[in-house]
Amino acid sequence: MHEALLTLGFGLVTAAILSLSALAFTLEYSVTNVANLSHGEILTVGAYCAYLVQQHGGGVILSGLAAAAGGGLLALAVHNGVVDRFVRRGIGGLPTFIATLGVSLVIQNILVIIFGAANLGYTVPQGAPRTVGPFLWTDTEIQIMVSAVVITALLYVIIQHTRFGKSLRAVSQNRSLARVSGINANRVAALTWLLAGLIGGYAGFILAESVGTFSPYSGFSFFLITLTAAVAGGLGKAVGTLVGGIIVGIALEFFGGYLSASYNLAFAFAILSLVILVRPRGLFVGGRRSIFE
Amino acid sequence: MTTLTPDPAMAETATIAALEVSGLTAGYGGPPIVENVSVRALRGAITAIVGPNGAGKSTLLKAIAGVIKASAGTVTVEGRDATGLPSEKLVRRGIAYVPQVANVFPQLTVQENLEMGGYSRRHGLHERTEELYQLFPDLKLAHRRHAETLSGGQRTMLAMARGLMVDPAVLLLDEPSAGLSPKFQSAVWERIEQVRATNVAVVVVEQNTRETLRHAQWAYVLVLGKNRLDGRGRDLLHNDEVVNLYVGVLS
Ligand SMILES: Nc1ncnc2c1ncn2[C@@H]1O[C@H](COP(=O)(O)OP(=O)(O)OP(=O)(O)O)[C@@H](O)[C@H]1O
Ligand SMILES: [Mg+2]
Repeated sequence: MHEALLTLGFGLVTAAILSLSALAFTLEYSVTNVANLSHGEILTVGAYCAYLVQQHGGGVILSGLAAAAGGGLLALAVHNGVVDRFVRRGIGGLPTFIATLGVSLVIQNILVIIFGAANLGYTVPQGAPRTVGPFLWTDTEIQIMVSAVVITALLYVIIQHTRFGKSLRAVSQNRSLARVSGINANRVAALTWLLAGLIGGYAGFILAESVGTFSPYSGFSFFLITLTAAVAGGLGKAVGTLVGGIIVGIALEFFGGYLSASYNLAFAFAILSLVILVRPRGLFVGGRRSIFE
Repeated sequence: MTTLTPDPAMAETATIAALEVSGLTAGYGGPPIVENVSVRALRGAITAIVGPNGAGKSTLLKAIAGVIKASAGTVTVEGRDATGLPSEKLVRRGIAYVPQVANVFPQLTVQENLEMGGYSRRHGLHERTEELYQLFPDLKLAHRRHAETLSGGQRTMLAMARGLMVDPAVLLLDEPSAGLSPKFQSAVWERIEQVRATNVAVVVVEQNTRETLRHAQWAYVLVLGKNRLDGRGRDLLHNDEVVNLYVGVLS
């Protein structure tokens, strides 16, 4: 029992990172209807930005901010440079999907050219693990979870209660009606991708902190797990995505704890296949397709 | 020319039309669906566009509202050229468009739908919302409900109110009474008349031709994407050609 609780504790850390990544992915999807296959690179670029800042003596906060900024700029560039060009011409779906895969490969290889393909170590002084109730967490892990909760809460407030958030939901529900209502849908979509990029970049930073190493391919591997969480939660639905992220995160930790972490990806895909077979529209379908509701 | 007729056709020379569409050609990338269509609408009048299924009525409204791009022709709003503007700009020029389907944000509340309708307003959002709640009291009662939970009739009212939030010069309505019970249909017409009375140019596309022609000061008959004829609504009601176009629909 005790060991299961410890595993659950580690699972919650993974769940925190995964939920942020999946929320960011869902935001991108919601306003453009495009599954962004270069989402993982937002995390990767975030990790490299944090690494560079750390190499130059920056602290945790500065590293986190740099990661968010790097991820945000990349997401904005992918939206404005690639995705929006398809959306504007009314080309959705598959071609855009493939284009984002191209972006993913290009970024991975640019990173290989600059930093090499090998794993880089990302070490932060973790501090001694402390007991919190039945769980055992280091300071870094607590920072990861608390920041994930704070970011999620902030995102909720933005989406539910600000004018921008309402226009975001309007664009995600009916882009053409949003436009005839006077909303500049392309700008709302760009800002949404920027927001998603900030969150995704930060997720890349806490992923690197948590794992301790990263490479140009880390984000892509984690993206495949992200996809599982997002699809399990029902694409485009924030609350479902959050729950999906938590369930998949915890499940992975239990599986990794008892077998081997290197099977994580295979395991994530097993979950994904199962979800698609059993509940193709997500585990938590209430007939709605909404961000936060 | 008699001087006392409050007839839009007579007023033609004196007034600047709220909406002047001339020689509009538009479609969806293939052959044009509407070709060389001209329509004008005056403030304080109901202008109807009628025609058989697939005549291109919805396509015409989409092209006027900037949802699809016209390949030829001009759109003038209150005397200013508005040709080719994207829909988010056109609404700032005073064109409000209520589509035939998917005309509310299903997972926004009634209040949020109105707020989005007034997105381009710099001020007076609150006052305008209250004005529209007076025109549509049902919506006020339902203001916290999600649009998807409303009845068909309420949804139509919300769609109209969303369009009216900008205080438009022109309100384009695509089949506002379609699929509603006769009781709701007359409620919709009552609202349309009230909106007209606030000096808006209401352009209505409708299937229920008889009822529409009764309300319309001026009507255009569209057939196969082209202007067939136009005239005062009540005159067209008894026009043989119109009756022939609608055998089975009018009777
Ligand atoms: N999105 C679209 N893409 C391609 N063709 C379309 C599209 N929408 C409509 N059409 C075609 O345009 C033609 C005119 O359609 P439109 O909806 O404008 O007619 P309508 O007069 O509004 O008909 P109804 O009375 O049935 O609403 C039809 O032949 C239709 O198939
Ligand atoms: Mg139609």
